[in-house]
Amino acid sequence: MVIDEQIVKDCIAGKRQAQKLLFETFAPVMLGVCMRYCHDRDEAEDILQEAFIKVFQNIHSFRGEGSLAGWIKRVIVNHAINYINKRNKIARHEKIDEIKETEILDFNETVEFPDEYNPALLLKLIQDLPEGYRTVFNLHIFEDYGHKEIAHILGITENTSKTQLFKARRWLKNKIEETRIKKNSK
Amino acid sequence: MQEQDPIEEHYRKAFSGFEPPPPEQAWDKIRAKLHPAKADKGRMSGLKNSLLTYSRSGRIYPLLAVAAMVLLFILIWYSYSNKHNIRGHAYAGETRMCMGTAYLFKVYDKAKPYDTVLLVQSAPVDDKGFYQFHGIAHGNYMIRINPQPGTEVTRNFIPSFYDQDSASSEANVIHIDSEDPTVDVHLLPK
Repeated sequence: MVIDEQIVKDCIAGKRQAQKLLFETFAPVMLGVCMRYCHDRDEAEDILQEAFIKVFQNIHSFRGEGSLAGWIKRVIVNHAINYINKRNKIARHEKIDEIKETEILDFNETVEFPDEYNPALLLKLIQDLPEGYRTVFNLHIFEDYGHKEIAHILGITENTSKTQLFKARRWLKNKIEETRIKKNSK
Repeated sequence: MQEQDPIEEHYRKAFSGFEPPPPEQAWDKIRAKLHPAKADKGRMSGLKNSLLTYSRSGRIYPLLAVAAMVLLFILIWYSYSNKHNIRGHAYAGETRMCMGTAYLFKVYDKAKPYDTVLLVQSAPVDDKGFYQFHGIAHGNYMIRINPQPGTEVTRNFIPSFYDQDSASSEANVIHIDSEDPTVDVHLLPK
């Protein structure tokens, strides 16, 4: 379904049919985004609903300079982060580890995935990540934010952002290895 | 230096088209928050909302509109229910006059009818001497019949009011109250 300019205008005018169409078009993809930031689907749905209300309340500020999907995704991600911040689940208190560049490079090795491109399994791994690791991992990997931007968004230092990303990678690598070993032993 | 992590690349590919089943009921909840009055209304609450919120927002107040319509209907009904028709025949002697004009005058002072009249309506007298006035309000009236010029009647009769040969001028006045009267007019001979 193509969301054209008229539908956006109708959404700005508060027309329900247009709002419903826009929601139904983007809800599945955006739910996937929300699910990466949460422990479970219920929480993701809560974030999705609240974020879409913000989308409709602020859609007049969409200037059409980028894609509508990109704009909605930014609103969703921002809301997800605010939501998580409110719950105080981000591990801001985590001790800043000084990560050496060599350690990061050492990590750069081939990893065999147990289940080729299985989003459900990968999503489960992401959802199992500690909150702080997960948020930084999502922002860096999927939203393409740099550590400086992540530090600004989350109110942490760049070093903390780097540390949490490193730990997220290590955590995921270990989990993937564990899963691969279990699979091979069967 | 930006490292190339295979895990990251794998995740990006895996989630590039990831679309979980859409959430059920989510749109209903969003709609309820965006359009609370419309989403929550039942039949009665909708009526209640419309009666209250419209007046607050300065739009037309439906109850007032209905009252105005009822009032207008009553006025129209009252107006029509108090209107009457006057009909009758014009006579030239013992026979009904053929062709002419009937005039209806409103009388404002019954004691001096000829001095206080105002023409309100005229109607044709047909070939059987019949005439009729429509939509006449309550009040006092006089009717005058003029025969068509150049006819036999005009040679022998003069234009005449109703009951003009009566001794009292007040007797010429017709009072319209609750019924549709039949008024026959007899032309006075020359």
